[in-house]
Amino acid sequence: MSPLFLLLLVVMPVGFGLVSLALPKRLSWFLFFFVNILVLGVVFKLKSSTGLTWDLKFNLFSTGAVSLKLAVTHLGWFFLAISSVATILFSMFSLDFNDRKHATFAAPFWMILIGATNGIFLSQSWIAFFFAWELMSWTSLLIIGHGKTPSFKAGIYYYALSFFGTMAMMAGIWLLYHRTGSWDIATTTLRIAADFTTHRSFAMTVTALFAVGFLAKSALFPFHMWPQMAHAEAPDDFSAYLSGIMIKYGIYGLALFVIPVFAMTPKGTMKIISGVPWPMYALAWISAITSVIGTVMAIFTNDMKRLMAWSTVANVGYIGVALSTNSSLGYAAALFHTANHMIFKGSIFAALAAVKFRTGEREMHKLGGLAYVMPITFMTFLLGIIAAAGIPPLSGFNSKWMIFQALFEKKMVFVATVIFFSSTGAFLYLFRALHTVFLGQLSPRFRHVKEAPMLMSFSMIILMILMLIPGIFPGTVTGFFNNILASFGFAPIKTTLNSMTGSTASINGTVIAAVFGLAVLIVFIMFLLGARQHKVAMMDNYTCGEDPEDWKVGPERYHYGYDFYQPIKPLFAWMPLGAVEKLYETLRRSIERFGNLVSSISADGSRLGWTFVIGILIIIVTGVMK
Amino acid sequence: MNNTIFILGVGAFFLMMIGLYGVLTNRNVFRLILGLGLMETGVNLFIVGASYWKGGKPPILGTVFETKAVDSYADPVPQALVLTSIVIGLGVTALALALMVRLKETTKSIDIIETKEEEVNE
Amino acid sequence: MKYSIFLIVAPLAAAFTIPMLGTYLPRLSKLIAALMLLAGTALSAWLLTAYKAQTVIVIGGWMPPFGISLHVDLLSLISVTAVYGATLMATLYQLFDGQEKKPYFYMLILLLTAALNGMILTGDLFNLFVFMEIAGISSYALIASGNGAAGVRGALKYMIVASLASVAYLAAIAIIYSTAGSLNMATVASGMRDLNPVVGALVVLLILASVFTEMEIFPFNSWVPSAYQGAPSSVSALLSGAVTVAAAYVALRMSYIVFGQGMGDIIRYGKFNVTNILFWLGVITVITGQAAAYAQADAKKMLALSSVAQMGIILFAISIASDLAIYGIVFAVIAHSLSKLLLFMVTGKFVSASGTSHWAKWKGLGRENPLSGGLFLIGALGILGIPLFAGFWGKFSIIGAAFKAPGVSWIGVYIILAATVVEAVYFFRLAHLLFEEPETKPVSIKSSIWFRISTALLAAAIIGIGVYPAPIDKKVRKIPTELSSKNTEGYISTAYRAMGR
Repeated sequence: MSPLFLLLLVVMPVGFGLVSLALPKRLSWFLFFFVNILVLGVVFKLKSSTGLTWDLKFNLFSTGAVSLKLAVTHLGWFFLAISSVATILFSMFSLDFNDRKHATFAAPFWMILIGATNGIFLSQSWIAFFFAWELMSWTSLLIIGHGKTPSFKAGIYYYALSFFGTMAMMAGIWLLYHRTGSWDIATTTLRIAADFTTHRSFAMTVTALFAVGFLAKSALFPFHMWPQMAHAEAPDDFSAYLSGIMIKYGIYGLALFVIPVFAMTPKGTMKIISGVPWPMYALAWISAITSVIGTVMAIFTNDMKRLMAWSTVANVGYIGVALSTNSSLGYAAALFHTANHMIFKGSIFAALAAVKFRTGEREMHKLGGLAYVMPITFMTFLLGIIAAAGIPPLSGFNSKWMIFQALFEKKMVFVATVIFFSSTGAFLYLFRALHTVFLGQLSPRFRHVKEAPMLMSFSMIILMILMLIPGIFPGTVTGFFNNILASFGFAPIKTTLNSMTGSTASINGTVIAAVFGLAVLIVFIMFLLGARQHKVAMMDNYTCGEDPEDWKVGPERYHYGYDFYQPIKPLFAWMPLGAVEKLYETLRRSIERFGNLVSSISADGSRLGWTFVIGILIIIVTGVMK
Repeated sequence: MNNTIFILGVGAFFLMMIGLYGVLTNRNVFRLILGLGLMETGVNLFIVGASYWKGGKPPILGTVFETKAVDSYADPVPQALVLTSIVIGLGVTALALALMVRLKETTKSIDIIETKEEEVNE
Repeated sequence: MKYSIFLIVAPLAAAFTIPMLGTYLPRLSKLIAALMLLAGTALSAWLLTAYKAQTVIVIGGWMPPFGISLHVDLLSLISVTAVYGATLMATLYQLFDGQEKKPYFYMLILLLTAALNGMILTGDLFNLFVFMEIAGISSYALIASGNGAAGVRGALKYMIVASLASVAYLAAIAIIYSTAGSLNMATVASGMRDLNPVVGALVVLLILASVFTEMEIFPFNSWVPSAYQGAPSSVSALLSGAVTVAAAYVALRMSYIVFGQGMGDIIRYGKFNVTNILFWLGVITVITGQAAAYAQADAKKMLALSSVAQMGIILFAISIASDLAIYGIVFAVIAHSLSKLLLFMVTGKFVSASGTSHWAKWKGLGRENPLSGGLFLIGALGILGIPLFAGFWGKFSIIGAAFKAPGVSWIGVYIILAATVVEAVYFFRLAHLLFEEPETKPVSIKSSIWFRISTALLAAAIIGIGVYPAPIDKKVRKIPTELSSKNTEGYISTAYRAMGR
C-alpha cells in the first residue's frame, strides 16, 4: 500500500468539493455519492495496513520541524470504517432527498467535511489534527446554516461553542509542544501521562484544555444544548450525519487522548474514587448529568427532530460514562455504542427526513398514522427506536448491556442508577415519537402521501440490516476491539461472533434474537387471530357536542400527541434545566452591552480629547503596575 | 535656573494646557482647531527654549557676527525643527479649516457631534 | 540597496506632477499614479528578493548622526512591499470600480504612499515625525473625499486625535534632543538608557501615545470607526491595509530599537515597565475591539473595529519579543493587510450597490453575486486565522510564543483566544447573511475586470500563504537577528558602522 492513499482520503473529497462548487446543484450531489464510494473503497483497502504512515515535515522557523503526519491506527481505522459505511448510506439517501425541489447547496461543503473527517481519524500529529478539526468546524457551520436565518442562528450557537473548544485545544497543543518538543499524538500522550507524577498541575491544565475541546464537540455538559438547535435546524438529510457521525469526533478525541492519558498514568499519583482517577469520576458525572438532561428534555419536546437531538445528547452521555470507567470493558462498550448509535440514530433521522420530505411537517402532533402510507420508513424508525431504547435483539441492547457491565465492574452504583433512570426515560420519549408520528389515525391531509423514493428506501433498508447484525452477531463489531484495546494498553475483552462476556455474566446475541423472534411470531399470530378492529378516522372524535371549529381549534390541537407528557411535567420542575443556556445568553448579552459601551465612547466626537488623556493615564498605570 | 528658560518653559507649559483645555471642553470645530493651534505653539516654544543658552551666537560662519569659535554658537538644529514644525502646523490648520468649511456646507453646522446618522454610499 | 531611496522619492515626485497635468490631462495623470504604484511594487519586490544585508543610506552627504539616513533592513522591505501592494490594489479599485474622483485624489494616494514608506525606512526620529504628518494630512484629505458629511466628520475626528498625538511626539523630540543630543534612532537608543529614568519614562510615554494613535490602540482609537466609515471604501482599505502596516512597524521599531536597544529583555525605565504597557494595552485593545465589532450594525465600522482588535494582537505579540513572536507579527500583519483589502473592496461593492453600510440590509447579496460573497468568506477566514488561510500562521505563532514566554503572558493568550470566538461569530454572521434567503430580490453587482483580477490575486495570496508559507517563512528567519543588539548584524551596530564608529 502506498502511503499516498492516506493523503488521498483527505485530499480527494476536498478536491471534489472545491470542483463541485462550480457545478450545478444536482450534479454535485451525484459527485458526492461517487466520492463516498471511492472513500469507502480506499478505507477498506487500508484494513490490514495498520501502521502505514504518510508524513510531511517542514521547517517552521524556531519551532523546528512541523509534521503533518497521517497514519492508520486501530482506533482511527475503526472510526473511519464505521463512519464511511454510514456516510455512504446517508449520501445515497441524500441523492434522492435533494431532488429539484429540495436541493440545497450543501454538497460541496459536505464533501470537504468528509475529507476533514477522514483527516481527523487519520491524523497522528496535532497540527494535522487541528487542521482537519478546524476545516470540519466551519464547513459544518455553513451546511447547518444552509442559507436560512433560523438555521444559521442554531448553527452559530454550535459554532461558537465548538470554536471555544477549538481555541482551548490550540492552547493545549502549544503547551504540549513546549513541554515535549513533539507534535506527535502518541508520543505526547505518553509524555503527559508520565507528567502527572512530576508536573501535576501542568498535566491537568493540558488535559483539561483538550477535554474542553472534545466535550464541546460531543455536546457533553455544559455544552449539551447545541444539538437540539443545530440538529433540528440543519438540512434534514444532514441531521443524520450530524447526529450519527459528527457528534462522535469528541468521543474519538476523548478515546484517543484523554482516556489513554489517565489509563497510562502511574498508579498512586492521583486520588482514586470508585476505582477510577478522580477526573474520570468527574467525567462520569458530567456524562451522567448530560444523559439525564437529554432524556428529560426529550420527554417534553414536541418537535420530532429536536426530540431525537436530545436523545442523541442522552446517548453521548452513556458513551461518556462508559469511557470514564477507564477499563477495557468500558472502553469497548463506548466504542460499541458509538458504532451502534451512528447507525440507529442515523436511521431515525433518515426516517424523519423521509417523513419531512413527504409531509413537510416537523411537529409531531400534526402527523400520525404514517405507518399506513410509509411502511418502510415506519419499519426503519421502529427498529431505530428499539435499538435506541436498548431492547434486544437490536444492536443498542448489546452495547448498553456492556456499558452497565462496565459500571458494575467498577461498582459505580450511583452513576449506574442515574444511567438506568435515563435509559428508562428513553422509552417514554421514543415510543411516544413512534406512536405520534407513525401510529394512530392518519390525518386526512396526508392520505395521499407516498412511500419515500427508491434510493431513500433502499438506504433505509440497509440501515435496518446494519442495526440487526450487531444485535444478533455482536462479534461483527466487537471483534475489532481487542486490537484497539491492545494499542492503548488495555486488557482484551472476551468476545466471539455471537456472544460477549462482561464482568458478571455473558450473553449470546443469537439465542436472545431467536427467543425474541419466537415471541414476536407468537404475538403476530395472536394479532392475526384476534378480533377485527374498528378503525376510527382522525376527525371522528367525541367533543361533548361542541364543534371545535367554532373555537378555531383544528384537529391537530386536540391530537392526543400534543403536549403528551404535560401531566408528569411538575415532577421535573425542581430541575434547573436551561440554567446553562441562560448563563450563555447572559454572557452574550454582556459582551454586546460592553461592545455598545465601547462604541459609545467614540460614537460622538465630544470625547475625542478625553480618550487621548485617559489613554495617557492608562499607559502610566500599566507602566508602573507591578 | 536661567530666567529666560524658566519663562519659556512655563509659558510653553501653560500654552499647551490652555490648548488642551480648549480641546477637551469644546465641541465647536473652530474652537477645537484653535485649541490644537495653541498646543502646537506651546510645543514649538518648548523646543526653542530647550536649545537656548545665554550668550549663544547665531551659528553662521562669516564676518557679520564675527564669531569664529564653534562652541559659542547656539545649536541650530532645534531652530530647523521648529521651522519645519511650524510649516507642518500651518498645513494641518489650513486643511482643518477647509474641512470645517466643508462640514458647514454639508450639515449647516460646525459641531463635531453628529445629530443624525449620516449616509454612506461608497 | 541604494535604489531604496526611490521608494520614497519616486511617488513624491509623481505626486507633484499630478496637479500640473491633472487640469489638462486628467486621464494621463491617473495613469501615471497607477503606473508609479506598479513600478514601486515591482521595485520593492525586487529589492526584497535581492536583499542581502541591512544597509544605512546616507542622504545628501550629511553623515549620520547629523544628517538624515535611511535604514533598510528585511522587515522594513517586507513592510514597504506590503504598503505598495496594498496601495496599488486600493488605487485600482478606486480607478475602475469606485466613484469618479478628481486627479488630486491620486496625488494624495501617492503622497500617502511616500509618507508611509518614509515612516518605515527612516532612521531619524524627527524625519519620522515629518512623514507621520504627511501621512496624516493626506489621509485626512482622502477620508474627506467621499460620503459627504460622514467623510468630513471622520476626517476631522482623525485630525483632532492625530494632532494631539503629534504634539505629544514633538514634545518627546524636544526632550530627547535636549538630553541625548541627537535624533538618530541608533544614537538615541544607546543614549536612552543613560537618561534619568523619569525623563526616559516621560519620553516613552509621549512617543507611545502618538504611535498608538496611528496604530489604533485603545483608547487612542476613538477616531477609528467614524474615519473608516466616512472614508470611501478604497481609502478604508488603505487605512487598514497600508497605514496599519506602517504603524505596526513603527511601534515595533520604537519598542525594540529606540526604547529597548535591541529585541529581547523586558524594557524598563526605573519602575516604568514598557513591556507591561505593550502587553496590557494589546490585551485591552483586543477585548474592546472584538466586543465593539460584535455590537456594530454598520459593516464598515465592524471591519474597522476588527482591524483594531488585530492591531491589539500584534501589540501583544510585540510585548512578547521572542523569535516566534516576530514570526507571528510578520505573518499576522501580512495576512491582516491582504484580508482587510479584500474585505473592504468587496464591502465597498456591497455598500455602493445597496446604498447602505448597514449589513442587516445585505441579506441575499451573496446569492445574487456568489463571487463577491465567496470572496467575503475567504477574507473572513483569512482574518480569523483558520488553518489553510493566511491568518493562521500568525495567530498560531503568537499564541505559541506567548506560552513560551516567561511571566504572565499566558493570561493574555486565554483572553485573546476567547475574544477570537467573538470575532468568529460576527464574521460568520455577516458572511452567512450574504447567502440567506432575501425578502426582496437583491441588487446585482457590476464589477470591472480589474476588480476580478485583483480580488482573485488577493484571495489566491490568502490561500497560498495559508497552504504554503515557506517563501515568507524563509525570509522572516533573519529578522530577529537583525533586530537584536547583541549581534554584529543587529540594527544598532549596523547604524554605528555607517557612522564610522
